[in-house]
Amino acid sequence: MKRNKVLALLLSTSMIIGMLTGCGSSKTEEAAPATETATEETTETAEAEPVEEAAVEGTKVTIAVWNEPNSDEALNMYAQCEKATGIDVEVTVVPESDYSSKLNQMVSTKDSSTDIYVVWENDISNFAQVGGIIPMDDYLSKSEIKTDEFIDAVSKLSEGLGGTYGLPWCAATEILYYNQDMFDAAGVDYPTNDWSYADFQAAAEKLTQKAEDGTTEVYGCALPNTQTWWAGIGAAGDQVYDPSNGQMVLGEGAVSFVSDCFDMVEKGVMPAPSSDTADLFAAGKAAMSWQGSWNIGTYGSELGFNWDIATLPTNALKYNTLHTGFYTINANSKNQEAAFKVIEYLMGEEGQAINSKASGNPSAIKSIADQGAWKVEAATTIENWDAITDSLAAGVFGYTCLPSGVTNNAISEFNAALLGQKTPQEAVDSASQYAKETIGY
Amino acid sequence: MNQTIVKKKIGRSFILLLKIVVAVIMFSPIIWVFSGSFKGINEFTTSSNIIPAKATLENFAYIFKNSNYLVYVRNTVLLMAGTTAGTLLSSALVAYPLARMNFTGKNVIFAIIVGTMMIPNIALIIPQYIMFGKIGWLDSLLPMIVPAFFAYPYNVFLFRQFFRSIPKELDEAATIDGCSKIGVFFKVLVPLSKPTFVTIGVLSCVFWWNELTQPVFYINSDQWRTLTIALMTTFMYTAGNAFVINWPSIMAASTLMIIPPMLLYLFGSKFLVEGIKTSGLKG
Amino acid sequence: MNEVNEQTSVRKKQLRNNLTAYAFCAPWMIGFVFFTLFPIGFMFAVSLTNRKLNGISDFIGFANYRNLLQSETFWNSFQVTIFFTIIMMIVTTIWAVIMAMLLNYKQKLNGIFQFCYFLPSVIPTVALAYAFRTIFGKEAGLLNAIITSISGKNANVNWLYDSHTVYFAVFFITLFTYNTGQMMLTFRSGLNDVPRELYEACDIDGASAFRKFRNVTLPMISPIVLFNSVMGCISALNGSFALLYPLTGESGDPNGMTQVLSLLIYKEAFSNMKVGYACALSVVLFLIACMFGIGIFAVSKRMVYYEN
Repeated sequence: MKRNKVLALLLSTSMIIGMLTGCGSSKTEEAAPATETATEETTETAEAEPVEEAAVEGTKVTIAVWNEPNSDEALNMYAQCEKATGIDVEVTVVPESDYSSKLNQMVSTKDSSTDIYVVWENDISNFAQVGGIIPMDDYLSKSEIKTDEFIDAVSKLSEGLGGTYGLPWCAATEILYYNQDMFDAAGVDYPTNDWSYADFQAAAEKLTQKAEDGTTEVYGCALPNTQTWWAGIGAAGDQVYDPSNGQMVLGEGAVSFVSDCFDMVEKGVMPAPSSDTADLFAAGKAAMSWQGSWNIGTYGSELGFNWDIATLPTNALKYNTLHTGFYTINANSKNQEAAFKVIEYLMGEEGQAINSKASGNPSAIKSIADQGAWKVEAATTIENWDAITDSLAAGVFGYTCLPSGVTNNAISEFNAALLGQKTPQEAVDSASQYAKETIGY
Repeated sequence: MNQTIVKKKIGRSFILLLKIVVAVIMFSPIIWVFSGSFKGINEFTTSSNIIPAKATLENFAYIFKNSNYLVYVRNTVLLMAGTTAGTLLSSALVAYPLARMNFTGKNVIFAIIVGTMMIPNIALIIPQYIMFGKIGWLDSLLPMIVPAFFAYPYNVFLFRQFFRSIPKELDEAATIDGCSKIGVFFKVLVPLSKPTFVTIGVLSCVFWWNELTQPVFYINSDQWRTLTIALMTTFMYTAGNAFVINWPSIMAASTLMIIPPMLLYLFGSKFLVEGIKTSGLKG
Repeated sequence: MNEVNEQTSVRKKQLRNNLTAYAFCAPWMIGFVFFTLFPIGFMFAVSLTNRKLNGISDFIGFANYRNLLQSETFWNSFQVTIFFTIIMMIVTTIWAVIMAMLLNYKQKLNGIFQFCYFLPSVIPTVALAYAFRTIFGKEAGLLNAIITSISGKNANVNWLYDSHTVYFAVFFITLFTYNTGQMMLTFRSGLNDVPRELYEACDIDGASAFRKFRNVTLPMISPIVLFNSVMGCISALNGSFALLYPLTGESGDPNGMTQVLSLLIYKEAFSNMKVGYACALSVVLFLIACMFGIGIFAVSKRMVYYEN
């Protein structure tokens, strides 16, 4: 009978061992890539001549971004960076909707699997405070990145952090895209950079094409997307974001813009929000669309019609939100040296030029932006390139400094208003109420 | 007499018609996914034909070219294998004394096991998330695999029911032959309940193949994404633009995810259907 | 003397027996302590702090609960959770019974029918959710196209965003979940167990099909109906996240009408970084689950075969 106990003991140990091997199997998986890079490193060091370079060459640097890298290799800055630096650059794409939250999780758990975070405006000061990212001043003093040439809004944003924690990867704006063929057919003049909001509304109505039964076949303008809602609200006179206390500020402007959109949805000039969201402009079912400048790179020569761009129409004021992201180095990264080398390339003339060519976003470094690499070559129908420079001049950092839960919630509220489930006033009130509950928690 | 036969015939064809209607309703989403996976993005967003006007394989090519598809498959298989092995071993062990032995506290333990079956996982996921974060398990499969080695109440419950249906005389005979409890377990119960192990194993695999909630909370980086997460992230957006949903690519990835359960049904429906039937009846 | 010896040996045997049993149960005990009991206590503790996602936290007493009780978003979500759980339970049970009865009517091709009825329940819910986002789409949705071709009028219903149709659409989608398929299979065998003689007796009385169902079938399968529907409750609480997160998003569009508590927990913890608050919400969800759990216990106690 003693055997019984012994066996029971054996059993539980075997179970624990089983459990350990269970974990072990996945751990070895994790370890495998590391050994791979190690062997790569040794072979590469054998070939490389300068001893200093060998330290970083062949190491693997992982970078977290929200955009898929360009599929054309010449326009893929990470692939080009690999060639130029010899560092193996691995890109982890985290979708935009979860981006901020996943990064916060990685920082809070001191994750070391990612070396470079491209951090959003609303997160950078927070990450710097909790020590999730490192100041790059030491590295910068030895490098040629032109930190004193950043456009004003960007340098203002990184003030007050007590060091340079992040370098802006570009400066994107929001613009109006329009289908020239549809404007021609409707006999409406093309938008200009000093179009007023009333001009826009009138054109949108004229451009709308309806079927016999009253349903819309071609919309005058696509629905504002998660970014351009805020451009419309800002242009209608609201502050959107108050940098002094970090609060969301919505008021009359938001109510009037949401009401305008509601009217346009009612008239069939604008589509209602729906579950199968699609790019109606690209599909040729909307004559105009307010979107980020990076779509120039996506559209390129892909659209089957002539199109051009203009600044967003001027309402109470000329407004659009600037977008950027900051290259930062994870404080828990084991390859900080190599990570900075990668950032140095990406912030250099070549890296910035490739990014601009691929995305249509100008560089945040003035002298590089002036060279005009952001005038996407594939987008042959664009003539009004001034729209970008004008938008940059009018751009401010706004909603991107707010937590994404707050802004997403507000957009859900606006959508409810467009569908007539709430009045615009109610939607704006409850969005503000939710922001108050959330910010400063 | 004739009338009743006619009536019956009408009734039969009416039921057949009803069956066909329900079948079309139930199967339509799968047809829709299959057809969508062969459409271009503009066709998908502007027309609702079932048969694509211009069938293309580029969505599948896009998936394999632009993502680490094989890594996602590896992760999903690892997750399935780890959790299934863990839960089979541990749940069967725990179920054994509950089904075959009399000991102090048996009823209390069983009551707690039944009780914990009722707690939805989602209610405890935030504290578990913080806990696993503290020990550095986030962004790995460990928060899902390790707990499987400590017995899922539901599977314990199923094993217990199955074990109870095996005659007790067999145990007694083995004990007289000099077998210990552990010997009885491995030499008598396990061989006799092979089909049970297969059944619970299949159910566990189906569950983890489809599981979205836990990976959404625990996985951050690309290298540990499972197929379900990849569907919501990697395949979701068009290249270069994070704001236009790439519907056909999602449909193509979904098609690839639907095929394995479909094959399982076609070739292993004995285990799948019978297993679910029994688990539902007794669980 | 002998008697005492015997007694101690019996006791020893019992002790050994108990220890062996506990050794077998050890994995579950460890798991229960570490993955259930501890998280429950920890959840209560964190819900009393203002912990953020980056780990910074201060003790704030019951402030989270006070804020929660004053928040409109919470009360809306609370109601949606209860409503969603109960309706999903009813809808899926009825649908499973219908499918099971159709399949049990012996005809040719039943194998193919079962394949069509059952397959949707074993495919990933996230794939289903995306399929239905486009089937119920406004511009190029399948359903609108079908209605258009039948009625001849241009259908333009915004199924998942219109407050009149969203619940119809969402509950329709729940018919395709694992739980429905499982219930269908169990009802099939339950229906098979109903004695033929009872139906024959009805036939002699000349009872209609509906009366046969009400007076014979329903009472005979009622234990399974009850048990299945209550199990459905739990799977509705647990599975709603995997279905609704890809379907209607963390804000539960439109207008929070589908924002069940699990979505709100995710949103507060990961989009707003309010982990302490999310824990307070988890406590509420836990209590709701306990409520349903007690319900299950009460129901299953009345059912003979459950413990047997």
